[in-house]
Amino acid sequence: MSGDNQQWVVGEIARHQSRLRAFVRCLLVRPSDVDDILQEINAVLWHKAHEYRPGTDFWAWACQIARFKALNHLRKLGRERLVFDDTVLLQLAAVAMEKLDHLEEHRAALDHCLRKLPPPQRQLVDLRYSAGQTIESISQSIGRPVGSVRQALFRIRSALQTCIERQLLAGGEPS
Amino acid sequence: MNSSPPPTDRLHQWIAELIDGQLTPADGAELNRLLQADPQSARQVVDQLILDSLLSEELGTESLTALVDLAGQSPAGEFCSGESNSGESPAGAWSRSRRGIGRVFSTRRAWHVAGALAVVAVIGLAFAMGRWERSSLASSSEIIVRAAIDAHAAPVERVYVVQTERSAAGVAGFKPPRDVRVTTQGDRFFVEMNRGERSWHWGLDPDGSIWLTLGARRAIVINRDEWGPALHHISSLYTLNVETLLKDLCKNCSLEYKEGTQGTHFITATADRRWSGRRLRQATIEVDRETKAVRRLEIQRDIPILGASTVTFTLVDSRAPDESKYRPQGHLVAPYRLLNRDTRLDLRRELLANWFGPLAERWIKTPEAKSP
Repeated sequence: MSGDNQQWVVGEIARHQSRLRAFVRCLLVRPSDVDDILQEINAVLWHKAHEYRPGTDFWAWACQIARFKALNHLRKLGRERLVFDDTVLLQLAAVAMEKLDHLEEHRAALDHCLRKLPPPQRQLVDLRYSAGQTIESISQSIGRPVGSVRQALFRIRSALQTCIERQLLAGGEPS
Repeated sequence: MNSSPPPTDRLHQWIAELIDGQLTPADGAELNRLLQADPQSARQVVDQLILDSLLSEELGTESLTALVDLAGQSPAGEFCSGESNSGESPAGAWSRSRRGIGRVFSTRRAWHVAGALAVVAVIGLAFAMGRWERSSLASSSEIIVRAAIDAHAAPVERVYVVQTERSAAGVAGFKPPRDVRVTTQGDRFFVEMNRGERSWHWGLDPDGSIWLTLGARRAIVINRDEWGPALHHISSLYTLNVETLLKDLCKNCSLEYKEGTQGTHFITATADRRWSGRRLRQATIEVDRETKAVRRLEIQRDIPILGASTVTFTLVDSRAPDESKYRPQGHLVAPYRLLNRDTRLDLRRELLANWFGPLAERWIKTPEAKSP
């Protein structure tokens, strides 16, 4: 592979970081592992850049490597820490790969939908994702049970998902 | 009797626990069985996990930009805490948390602000070290740095690429791709942050207004007389009036001058051990002997929990300015809207808060009531 092509692959790795991260997130149980594995995947993609055939689907190629790396990581964790078996993991990987093809449209719609969230819900989202607080610390700070906070966040994400799908169907530009 | 699919509430609970990494092995086994039997549930799991990832990325700190590490604790930290002391009284846990959010400066769209602040903090540091605490400076360092200030005031546009490395997450031989560029010219600047298919810009235009793009077709413009305290900080940093803003940083560093080998001078600033809560371990400034431009700046920091990080600003281009890029129009696609002072104040503030976090609404100050 020429230097130009290698440079191109590096650019593609950068361009697909969000997708790769979300893809890995769909396979790993522990959120804290995601960024570490992503770094390893980046390194493998970089080292295997010469194996990429220009003109073929970069996302499919990267996904294949990411899936292999993530599954390998899960197997190393040991049976007791595994949540899903290989069949389900491959099923999740297939669904994720398909859905992530449209990640940028989803992201734009998410921007729009976040701005529509009522303030209390937005505040909860901010505590979890902007401030990076754990469910437990949010629970303590607002005086609600852990399960209740977790379910509230689930419902907010579901509402956002519905909003995103509606937005994508409408095809309107987010405000 | 209990062989029917679990109620939806149960599935939702499992997914919620899965997302937080709190699913018990027994519930995990149940969920695994359900996903094997019901592909629709698998789609629901994937939807939630993708959304979780997007929200973490959109709103939170994340590994792709360690720049926030730098900005979060030094100028941006001061900048944000200054904001929270601006007279509005906190009310309840929510507002306390929201101020916390501002302090860590972690919203995704604040990256370009954070990145910009980081760059300017470092550039400012370099210049401030030449201007602050004169008596404590080696005279050669002062001359060089002051010459650099003059060099940066010339009608030349300089472009710096910003790179960040972390010891903890680093993979040997591989640098995670990022693309952050700061273009400066005298008392103007614009910052470009590219990430994947998206990019953001903000800057200070020749009329003294700060602008921030909101996507490809809108920008908020804030005139100088509308700036809240935070924007004054930003502006001061970029126009190199750094003495007051960075004096704390500079008076806590010892400076050392070295002759470089390739047409450069080196100045190394090392944080004093007594500096409690110190924000950097060491900064190295490389100044071109001929042009007196800052060629390279390197900041080394020890970040609690995250380990060491190094942020490097490298001069990659000096060129004739492209004037259009110092205005928001140069980064927007027609038809576009500029939301300036003709736009309702509350709308601009709401947009700022939505895009840059809760504190951003105070970037535009409240107009003083006119006396009758």
